[in-house]
Amino acid sequence: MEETKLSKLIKGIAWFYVSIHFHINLGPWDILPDWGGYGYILLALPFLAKEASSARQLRLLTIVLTVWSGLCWIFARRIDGFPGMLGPFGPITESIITVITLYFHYQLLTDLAQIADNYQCSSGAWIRHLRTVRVLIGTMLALPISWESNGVTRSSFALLTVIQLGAALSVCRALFVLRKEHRLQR
Amino acid sequence: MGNIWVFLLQTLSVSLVAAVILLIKRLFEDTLSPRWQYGIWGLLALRTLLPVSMQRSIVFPLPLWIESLKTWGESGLNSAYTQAYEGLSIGHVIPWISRWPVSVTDGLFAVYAMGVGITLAWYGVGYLRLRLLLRKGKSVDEALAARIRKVAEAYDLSACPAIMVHGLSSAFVCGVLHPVMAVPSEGELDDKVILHELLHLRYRDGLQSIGWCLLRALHWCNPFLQLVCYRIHCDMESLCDQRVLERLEGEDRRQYGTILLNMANETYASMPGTTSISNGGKNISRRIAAIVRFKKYPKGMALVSVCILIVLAGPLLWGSNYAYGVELYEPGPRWRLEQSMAMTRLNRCTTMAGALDTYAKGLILENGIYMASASSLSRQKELAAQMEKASREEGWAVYHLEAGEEFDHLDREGGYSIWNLEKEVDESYSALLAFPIKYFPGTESETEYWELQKQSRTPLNVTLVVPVTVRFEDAWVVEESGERICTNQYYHICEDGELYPDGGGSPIPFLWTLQGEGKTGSVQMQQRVGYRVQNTTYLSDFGVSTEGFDVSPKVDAEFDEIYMWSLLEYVHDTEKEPQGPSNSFHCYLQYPEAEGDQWNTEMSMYNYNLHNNPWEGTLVTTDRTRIEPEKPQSDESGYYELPLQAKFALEWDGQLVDEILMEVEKDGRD
Repeated sequence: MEETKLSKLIKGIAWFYVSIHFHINLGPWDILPDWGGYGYILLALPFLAKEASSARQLRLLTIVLTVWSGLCWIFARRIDGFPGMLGPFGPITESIITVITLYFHYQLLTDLAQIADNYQCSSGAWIRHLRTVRVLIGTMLALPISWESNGVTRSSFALLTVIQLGAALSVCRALFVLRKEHRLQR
Repeated sequence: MGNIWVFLLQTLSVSLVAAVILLIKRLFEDTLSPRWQYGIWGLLALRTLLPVSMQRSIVFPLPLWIESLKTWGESGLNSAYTQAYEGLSIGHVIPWISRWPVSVTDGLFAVYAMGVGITLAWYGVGYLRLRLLLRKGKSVDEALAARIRKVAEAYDLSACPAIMVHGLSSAFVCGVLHPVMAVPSEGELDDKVILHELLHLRYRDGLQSIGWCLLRALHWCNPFLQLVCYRIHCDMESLCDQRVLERLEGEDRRQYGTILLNMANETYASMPGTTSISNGGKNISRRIAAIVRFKKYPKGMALVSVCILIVLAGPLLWGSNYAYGVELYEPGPRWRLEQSMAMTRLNRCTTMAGALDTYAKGLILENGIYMASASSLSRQKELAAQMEKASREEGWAVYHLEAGEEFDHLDREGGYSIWNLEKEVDESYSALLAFPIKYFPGTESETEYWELQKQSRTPLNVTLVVPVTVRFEDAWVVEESGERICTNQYYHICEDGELYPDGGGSPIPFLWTLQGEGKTGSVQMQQRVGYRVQNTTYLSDFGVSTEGFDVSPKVDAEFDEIYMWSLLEYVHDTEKEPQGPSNSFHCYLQYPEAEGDQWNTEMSMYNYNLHNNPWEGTLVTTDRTRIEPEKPQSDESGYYELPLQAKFALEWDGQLVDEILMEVEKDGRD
C-alpha cells in the first residue's frame, strides 16, 4: 500500500470521527450526515484491511450502520424519527444498532492502533486507551437508566456525554498525530 | 406457573429472545469468538428462569395478546386454574398443578406439566442406563491411562478415570460429581480427542448440559426452542474446539479438523451430564466452519464482548421500554373492548397514589378503562358489560362509562385532589376525592351558572366530594364507599344575592381536632390532610406555554406532596392571665419529630402588631404545613401517619408566655 494513501485514509477517518459527533443542521437536514462517514469507511475498508487484516470483518457491520444512519437521516423530520416508525421493533433494533456501533468503533480503533504499532508510531497505545474509554462510556450511556429522573442522573449523563465528546476529540487528535508520525517516517 | 396461558406467554417470550439472539449472533458471526457466541446463550438461560414481565415485551405485545386470548378462550369454561377476567401472573417458571383439571384449558396445562415430568424422567432414566452401561465397561489399559495423564499434565488439566466401552464411535465424558471418560474399545484414541474431553471436564460442560436439558424439558412442546437447544450444544462444542485449537500448534490443528471431518457420518444422542467430541454430522460442518474462522477473529475483543452482553441484557431479560397498548385506553371500536379490558388487567395499579390517580381520572373523563385499571378484578365483567351496553344502546364510544350526573358540569382542567387519607381497622384506607365543578346548587343551567359567576366576580369553584376506599388486592384498587356530596361551602350567597368567598372555609371536612389548655387560655386546632400527585403539564402553542392537567393515568404514581391544613382558634382566658399583650403578639406551632423527644418548630403562623389593632382576646388563623413524603412517617403505601400532638407557642411583647400541648380529642381518633 502506498504510504500517501494510508495518510489520506487516516486523515479521512479522523474527519469521520468529527462528522459523527458534530452536526450542522440546515433546517431538518444534517449536512454532516453519519451515513456519509460510514459510507466512507465502507469504501476505505479494503485499503485498511491491507494494513490490518481483521478490518475486513467490519464490512457487514459497516453496511448495517450506513443503511441505518441513512434511514435515520431521511426520516429525521418525523418527531419520533426512524426508530419510531418501526413501532414495537424500534427499541430492540436500536439496542442492536447500539451494540453494533460499540463493536464497530472498538475494532476500528484497535485496527488503527495496530497500524500505528506496525509503523512504530507512538500513538498506538493512546488510541487503544481512547478506544477503551469510548466503549466504557458508550456502554454506560446505553444502560436502561432513566437519565432524566433526578439531579444525580442528569449530572451523570451530562458528565458522561462530555467525556464521550472529549474522547472523540482526542481520537481525532490521536489520528492526526498518527498521520503526522507516519508522514515524518516516510 | 399455574395455567396454560402463562406457559404460552413464557414459552413465546423465551422464543422471541432466542430469535433475537440468533439474529445478533448472525451479525457478529465473523467478528466475535466462540466464547461470546456461546456466552450470549447465558442471557437465554436467565430469560428462561425469570418469569416474564406483564408490562414489558421485547418486540410484540405478547402479554396483551395472551390476556385477550385467555379472556376469549376461558369465557364459559369455568376452569379451575384461571378465569376469563383474572389477570395473568407468573410467580415462578416451574409448572404447578394445584387442583384436578375441570376444563379443556386445565387439561392442556395438565398435559404440559406431565410432559415436563416425563421428559425429565426420560433424561434421568437415560442417564442411569448410561452409568450402568459404563459400569460394565473395562478399565483402560495402563498405556492409555498413562497417555490421558500425560495429556492432562501437558495442558495443566485434571484427568478423570477412563472406561473402555465396546461399540462406542467416539469418546465422551459422563457425570458431574464423579466424571468418567468413556473411550471406544476399538481403534486408536487420538491425544487431541483426549484433550477435547479433558477441556469439557475442566469447564464443567457436563453441568451446563444439565441446565440446557432442563430448558428443553420446560419447553418440550416448543419445536423452535428444541432447535435452539441443538444450536446451543453445537456452540458449546465449537467453544471447546476453540479451546483445543488455542492449545495446539501448526500441523496438530489441521489434524484436529480432520478428526472432526471423520465424525461427519456419526449419529449422536445427547444426555444430561455428558459431553462428547461428536455431536452429529450436521453440527460438524458448522464446527469446521468455526475452525476455519479461528485465525480471523480479531484479537483483544474481550472488553467489547462483555460490554455488548451488558447492553443486551436489559432488553433481552426485562423487555424493551416500548409502551404497548397505550391506544387501548382511548375511544375505539366496540370489538376492541376486550383488548382494552385485557390491558387494564395487565396494567394494574402498583401504588395507592397510582390507584387514586387512575380512578379519579376515570371519573373525570368518564373512561371505564381507566376505572377498570383501578378497580377490583371481580368488577371487570360488570364494567365491561356496562360499557358495552352504553355503546350499543346510547351510541357512546366503547370506553365510555357514565360517572354520574354530578360530573356533567365538571371542570376537567381543574383536575382533582385527594384528602384525609386514613388507615382503617381492616388494613384498607379511606379517602376523599375532590373535583371542582362548574355548577352551583340552585342553578338550573350552565347559562345561569355563568350569570351567577359574572355577578360574583370570582370563579365559582363548587366542589364534588367522592368518598372512596383504597385497598390492596392483586394490586391497589379503589371503590366508592359513600354518598357523593356536591358542596358549596367554599362560597355562599349573601342576603343581597351577591356571592362571596367564605373565607377560610373548605368543602373538605376536618379529619380531627386537637385541643389544649394552657396558663393563658385554651386552643383548639382542626386539621385535614391533602395529598397531591404531580399532574401539571405544560403545553406549547405558537410559542406560548400554558399550564394544563395531565389526564393520562399514572398507575405507579407516588404522592409528590402532602399538606396538613390547620384551622386554629386561641381564646385568651383573662381570669387566668389578666395581663394580655400590649405591643405585639406572635405564635407558632411545633410538631413532634419522628424520632426522639425533639419538637420541630414550624414557621411562624401568626405575627401581629397591636399598635393599630387592639388585642381582643381571640385569634382565629390557618396554617399549611408541607410534609416531605420521604419522611419516616410514610409507610410503603405512601400513607402519612399524622402526629397526634402539637405544641402551640405564644409570645407576647417578645416574651414566651405559654406553650400549650394539644392532643387529639378522644372521639376524634384513637
